[in-house]
Amino acid sequence: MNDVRIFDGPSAPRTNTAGDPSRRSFLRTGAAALGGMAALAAALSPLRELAADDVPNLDDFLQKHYKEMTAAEMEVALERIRAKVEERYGVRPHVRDLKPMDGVEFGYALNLSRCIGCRKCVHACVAENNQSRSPEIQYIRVIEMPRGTMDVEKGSHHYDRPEVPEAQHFYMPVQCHQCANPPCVKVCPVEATWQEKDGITVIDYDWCIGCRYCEAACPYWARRFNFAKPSLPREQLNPNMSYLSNRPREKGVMEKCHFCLHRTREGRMPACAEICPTGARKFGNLLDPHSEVSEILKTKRVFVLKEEVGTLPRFFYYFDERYPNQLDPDAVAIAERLREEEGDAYGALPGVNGPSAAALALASPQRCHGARA
Amino acid sequence: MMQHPHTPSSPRPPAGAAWLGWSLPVGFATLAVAMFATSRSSDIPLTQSAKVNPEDLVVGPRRVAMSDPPTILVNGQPQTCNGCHRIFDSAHPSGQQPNFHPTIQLSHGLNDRCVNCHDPRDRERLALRNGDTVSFAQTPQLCAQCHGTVFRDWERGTHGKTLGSWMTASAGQRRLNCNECHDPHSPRYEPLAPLPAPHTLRMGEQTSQVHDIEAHDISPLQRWLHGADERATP
Amino acid sequence: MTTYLKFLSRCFRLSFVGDARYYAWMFALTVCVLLGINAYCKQLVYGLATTGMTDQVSWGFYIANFTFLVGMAAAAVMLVIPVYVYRNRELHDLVIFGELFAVAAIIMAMLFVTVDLGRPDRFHHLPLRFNFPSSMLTWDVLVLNGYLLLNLHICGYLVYCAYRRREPSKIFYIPFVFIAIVWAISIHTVTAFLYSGLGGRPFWNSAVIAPRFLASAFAAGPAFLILTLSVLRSFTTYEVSTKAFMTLRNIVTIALTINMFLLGSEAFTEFYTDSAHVASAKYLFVGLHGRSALVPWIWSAIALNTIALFLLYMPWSRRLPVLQVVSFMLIVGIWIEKGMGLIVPAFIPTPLGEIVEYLPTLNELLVTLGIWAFGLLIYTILVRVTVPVLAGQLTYDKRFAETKAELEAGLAVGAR
Repeated sequence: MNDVRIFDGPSAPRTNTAGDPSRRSFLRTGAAALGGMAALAAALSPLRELAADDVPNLDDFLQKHYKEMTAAEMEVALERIRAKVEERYGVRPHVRDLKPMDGVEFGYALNLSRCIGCRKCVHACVAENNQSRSPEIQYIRVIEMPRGTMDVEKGSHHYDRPEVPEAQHFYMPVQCHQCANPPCVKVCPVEATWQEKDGITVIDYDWCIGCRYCEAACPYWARRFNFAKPSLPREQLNPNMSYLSNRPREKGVMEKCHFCLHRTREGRMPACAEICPTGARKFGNLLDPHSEVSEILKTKRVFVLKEEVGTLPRFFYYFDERYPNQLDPDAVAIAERLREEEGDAYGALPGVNGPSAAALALASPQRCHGARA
Repeated sequence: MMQHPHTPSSPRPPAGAAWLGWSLPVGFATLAVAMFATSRSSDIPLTQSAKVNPEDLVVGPRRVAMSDPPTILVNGQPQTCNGCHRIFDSAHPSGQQPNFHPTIQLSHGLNDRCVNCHDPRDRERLALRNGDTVSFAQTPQLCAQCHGTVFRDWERGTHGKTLGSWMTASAGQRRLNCNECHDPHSPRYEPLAPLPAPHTLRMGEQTSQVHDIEAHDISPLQRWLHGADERATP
Repeated sequence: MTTYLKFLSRCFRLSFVGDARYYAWMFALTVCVLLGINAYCKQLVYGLATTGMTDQVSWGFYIANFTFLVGMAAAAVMLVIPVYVYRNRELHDLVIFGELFAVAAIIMAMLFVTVDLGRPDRFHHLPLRFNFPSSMLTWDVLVLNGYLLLNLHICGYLVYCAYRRREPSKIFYIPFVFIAIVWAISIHTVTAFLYSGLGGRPFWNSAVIAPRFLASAFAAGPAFLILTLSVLRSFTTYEVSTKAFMTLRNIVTIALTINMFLLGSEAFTEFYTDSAHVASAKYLFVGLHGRSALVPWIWSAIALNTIALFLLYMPWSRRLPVLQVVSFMLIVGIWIEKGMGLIVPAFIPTPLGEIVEYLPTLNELLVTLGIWAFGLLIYTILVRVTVPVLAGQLTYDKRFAETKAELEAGLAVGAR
């Protein structure tokens, strides 16, 4: 190793030509220091605008991670939430900490043949889960997709039509897929998000530090960040809340779909599934072989979005075996022709009460397999 | 080649000149004033989310199905079916508007005869093809005669809408009947006006992004679907 | 102990000694820091909505600068390796300036992560539920802090020994120097893995990201040192040999060549394959569906890097002024390439195909400016203190006034 030469730098003696009376210099130094302090105070002055309830108090600061809280500590935390909501919105909420049910793993199935893209799910979700109205936070995105492609990039998020569905498109709503192998959970540096026993990936809003790594990791763009203080009109607040789901969030934390766990862990449907006018949204217990989702997985042609990223979603899409959104024009044409050939020979009272079986078989979009009843 | 490090560079002012000494406090003071003056301004383009009519978010069946036993309003008075049909047997040729049912628009494909579904002997019952009749509350069995696969799916819960609970055995669960979503006389699912499109922070409401898809991005499948292949024209 | 505290206080006092230009420079930096603090306070009050970031583009300028600065910090190793592995004598006295810059760069990088947090008040949650080894961010926290400590130890020990007029004992720093070499590679690799491990972002999900990060860092870091050493050479009496500049020039040339090669490989794979994954790259280089905010940035970066590379291969760049211009160009080029060119396009289009563009806001730029100014302030002070200590002008057995007089005299002589 070389010896350390850093000592022998040049240090030639120099003559002193700069000379100021020390008193004036002292004055100037003092003024500069004073000016600096004033500028620092000015720089910090925007902090005056911080709302009192935006500044964490000692209890907030010392609150433990969800998994570390005892029942008593959780009750204290819940009481604090109640008080805060009451102060902010003037409503005493019903807040509790709901645990997963035994023998339940939630799954979701969405019928792309039936979804008409009405966005009722989007707004029912916002109303149920107390999302911020300004800036707008929504957990569900409905994409209007042109037929013939599954490339979301060719779809439109901002479609605005007088009526939906539009025949040349299908509609694909996307929300949190509650993956069995969730990349968002893997990347969180503080374990503020994790997967519960019933398959729901939740967030402890009081633990999240807001680094947004999970948002970058999610392949479904399911996570949302509170870029500003969330605001919602007090009359629109949903007072039925739970710790891990729809209690009001703070500025600077992540949130996302949690399958409405304050409803679903009590046996109710998620708001999006309940509002869906067409029944395209199906929700249930994957461990129950007779649940609607299990039946769909058994009998339908099911796929998941972006299977190649290996996230193993619990959110499934499927199609029905039918021409989407309209009658099959070919079948109708054949039936019309048959009718012309046969004439209006049946249907008179009190004889035959229906078209011929052959015509019916053709007219129906599905071939008639006979009723089970 | 490079300059030698000890070569004197350009002349500089004497260290600690008086004007410079005072420029520090003056500079800081100016900065302080400027920052105080702007301490409340911020450029956040917060937009209010579009209003949604609460009626659009009411949970329940899409339409009110016919009661059982069925009643209709005639000249503003509720009437049972048999009240009239005891007198008129009313067999209409296909495609003709029934006299006393002006609101009914029959658009059920080839199924265009009243008595295909309604029992001609008892208008308050529905007729099955095997000669049996069912009540108006049992429409699924009637529809099942033609829409077998849909009925199969409905029984399993893979078609149709369920309200209440996700639990299969739960008493709170209710699966809607066919005629709570579909009008039996015009069963096509009626289109809806979509609720407002999303806003994007900083980009606001965007126009429906219709991409000008470059030619080589259009797959043969899409070209076929849109009939956009100019080679097909004679 | 008291000697050490006295050393620190003397260093502090020394940082106020300088000529008008030193004062002007420090004043300008202080003003920028204050502006940054001001902007950050606004961000604390109104939230990250004061930045240009959105749910669609959830990381922006802050993380871009963080990435760049981690690379700059890692680049100190490009001075350490020639000296301690290949026994290069020209760079020997200059290593410490690289390490000092690493300290400043790491501090800046950590500040950039901090200002990017939505809830900096919950920073203590990190040690309480440290998601290690699952989250790459926890790895990054470990390696960055470790690297900061390593460099603080090495620099602090050498400088303090010089102050005490002691020969540094090799076992107290040579092992750490070699650990720091490996550690420097690790900080930038871990930062690259932060991005390349995300399957949902095809633009990042590429094995070449880590090598590219290192190559670009090893070009930009030494380029920055060229500029620093030029300043040292013309403003202080510190000896910086021409050969040292030439060694740095060689390092920069090779690293930039590798970086351009890797960029080309990346671009080829994306564009020739022409799969759906090309969307982000297309957005970056040519624009997508009529949106093209990043196109001017990336082409400026490519132009700057290409011209810099061309000049580096020409004999003209042996002249210091040319070398300085080249260094500046490639620092800017790589800053764009790794910042706006690597972080932002991965978010455009979103995983759901939406195209939302990103541009930093004024507030965001001010915070960024403040952090850069703060880092340069730290670096200036560190260099300002280190030079006289190493030159034997500030030692424990000398009175401070003596040192001060000597230094001010030196400044005056420079002004002749």
